[in-house]
Amino acid sequence: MRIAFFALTVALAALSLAAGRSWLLPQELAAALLDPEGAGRMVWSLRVPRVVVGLVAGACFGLSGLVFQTLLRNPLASPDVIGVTQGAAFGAVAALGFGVPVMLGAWGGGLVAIAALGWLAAHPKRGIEPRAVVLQGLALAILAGAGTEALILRMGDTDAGAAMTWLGGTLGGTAWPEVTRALWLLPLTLPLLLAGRALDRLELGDDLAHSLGLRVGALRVGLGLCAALVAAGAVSLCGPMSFVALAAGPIGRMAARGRPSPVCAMLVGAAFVMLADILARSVAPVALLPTGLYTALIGAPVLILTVRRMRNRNAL
Amino acid sequence: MSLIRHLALLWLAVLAGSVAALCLGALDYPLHAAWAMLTDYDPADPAQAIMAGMRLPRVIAAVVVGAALAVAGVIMQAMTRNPLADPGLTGVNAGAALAVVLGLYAFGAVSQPVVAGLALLGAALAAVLVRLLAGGGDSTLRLPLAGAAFGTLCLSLVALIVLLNPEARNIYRFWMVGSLAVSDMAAVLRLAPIAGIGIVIALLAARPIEALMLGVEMGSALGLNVGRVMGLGLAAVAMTAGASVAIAGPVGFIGLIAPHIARRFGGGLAAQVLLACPIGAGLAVFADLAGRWFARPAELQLGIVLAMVGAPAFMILVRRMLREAA
Repeated sequence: MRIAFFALTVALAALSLAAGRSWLLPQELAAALLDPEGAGRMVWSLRVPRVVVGLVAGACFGLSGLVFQTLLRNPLASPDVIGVTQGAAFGAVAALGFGVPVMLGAWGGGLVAIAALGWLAAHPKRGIEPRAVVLQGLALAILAGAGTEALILRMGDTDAGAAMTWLGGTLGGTAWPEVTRALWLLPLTLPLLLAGRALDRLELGDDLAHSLGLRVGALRVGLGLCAALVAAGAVSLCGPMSFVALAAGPIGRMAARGRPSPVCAMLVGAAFVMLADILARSVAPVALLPTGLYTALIGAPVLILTVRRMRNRNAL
Repeated sequence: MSLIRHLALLWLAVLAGSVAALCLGALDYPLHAAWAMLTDYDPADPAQAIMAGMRLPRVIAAVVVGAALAVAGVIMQAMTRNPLADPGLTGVNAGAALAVVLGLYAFGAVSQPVVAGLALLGAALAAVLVRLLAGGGDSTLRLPLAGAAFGTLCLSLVALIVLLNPEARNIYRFWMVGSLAVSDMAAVLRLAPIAGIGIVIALLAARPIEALMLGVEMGSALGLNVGRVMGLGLAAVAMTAGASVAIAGPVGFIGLIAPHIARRFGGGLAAQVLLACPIGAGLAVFADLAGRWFARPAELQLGIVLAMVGAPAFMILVRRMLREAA
């Protein structure tokens, strides 16, 4: 399954390189990729960065989705549902206003959001309550969204227009500087990638995980902060793309036969963003709809199905 | 008697807020000037055009929308036995907005009655669908979660449809967050009676709903037609929420907060409906004024101001429920 998803992601990335206002035939694409200076200049300056950033951002969203869903024991608790993504977007827009690097702002916003959530959803005795996390996160997301709107109001018209597009989740305007920033994010994903086995054990429940030698509390806080940074970093690359993280978690789990596999979640997230970006550039290219709209349209039914499944299992 | 006194005081507060909303804004008018404009209207004067053409319809729209959403919230919270029910959070407003936008897109410019009809239909359908999705059971958390999922799907579709028409981008904000910025007097006055009928139905249905909530068996034993009571409640929610969406787009949180404030005054469900009207109207009037005042000369949409107040209120409610469950 892992290989199948890898192949799917590569195929979608290749398709994404070929997609656009002018579609390239396979041999044209190959020729362009082999000739960065001449015939491939357009592909190398526009489409390659777009695809690389999309892959990294999608992988980051998918990974943090899986980690949050596993840590909080709730398939709805992905960063885009519990407000981490929206907090990061608020931080990024605020950073834009103050002239601070956007990624720093996004990180700050994401960390504040996850800290606030930890406090809001904590039960006085039983610790974090899996059901309350999602509800409080929903409210947090709405609050952060309203704050972002208020910030945008203070911007000039052109900045505000750009910010609105970005808030929809877009890969438009991606160039090589963004690729550098995207690659900076990769080291942050390492701890999460290596945490596969720990996540496996956390699934067994806190007590059992503890008796297997895990320091559950520290692990949860450390992995949670790391996952928040990864999700916020992805937001700073392409805006808050809705539901990539939410959908990538469960689908990645299916691909890994029910186990929380970080690699599978990353592949699913990357493939999801590729698919949405191909749609964004080919379905209605004139309207320039943000890529995040397509991820939302594909992801919202996943959200509804998850709610239904949880209801039937009485987990909600 | 205390109900009448409370109602009088609350409506007085709404009146005071409305007067402030008429006088204050990007341009401030002294009280006597505002009065002169309202009593002795001179269309040639541009300052008076602002008052009659923009602020007055806006204040009336805020009162209607606020009262309607508050009543929708009271009835929804009673019927679902869920203190977190709200036409915004449960996706009813989003469903109504989707129905209207679909209609506008499919048939081009449609008349006001058609818009209202679509909004009612969308609100009713959304209420039923979300209830089915959430299922029965005791968990208070299901309904807002199912509603959020459904509402997100509806609003994504609204965004898709609205953004596909390049010339429609300026109405995007209206259909996504809800706003009173484009209130038009004729439209408001045509839609207000629908909200009014919804409120009257809510008042008539309050008693039977209360009885029904003692338990379906108990309700039947008291001689209630369960289906009819549920239908009346649904009609009240659809008419109030639908009319408010047709006037101001999907505005959230009034339906959540107003019933909780109304409960503080005590009384049965019918009293709650009556009390919720001025409370919701006041919330809408003051929130809209705040959005215009703090950001002037620009303005923050009503839906956004309410989210800033309502989201923390929601968080406090959930936290309190957590503690009570302890």
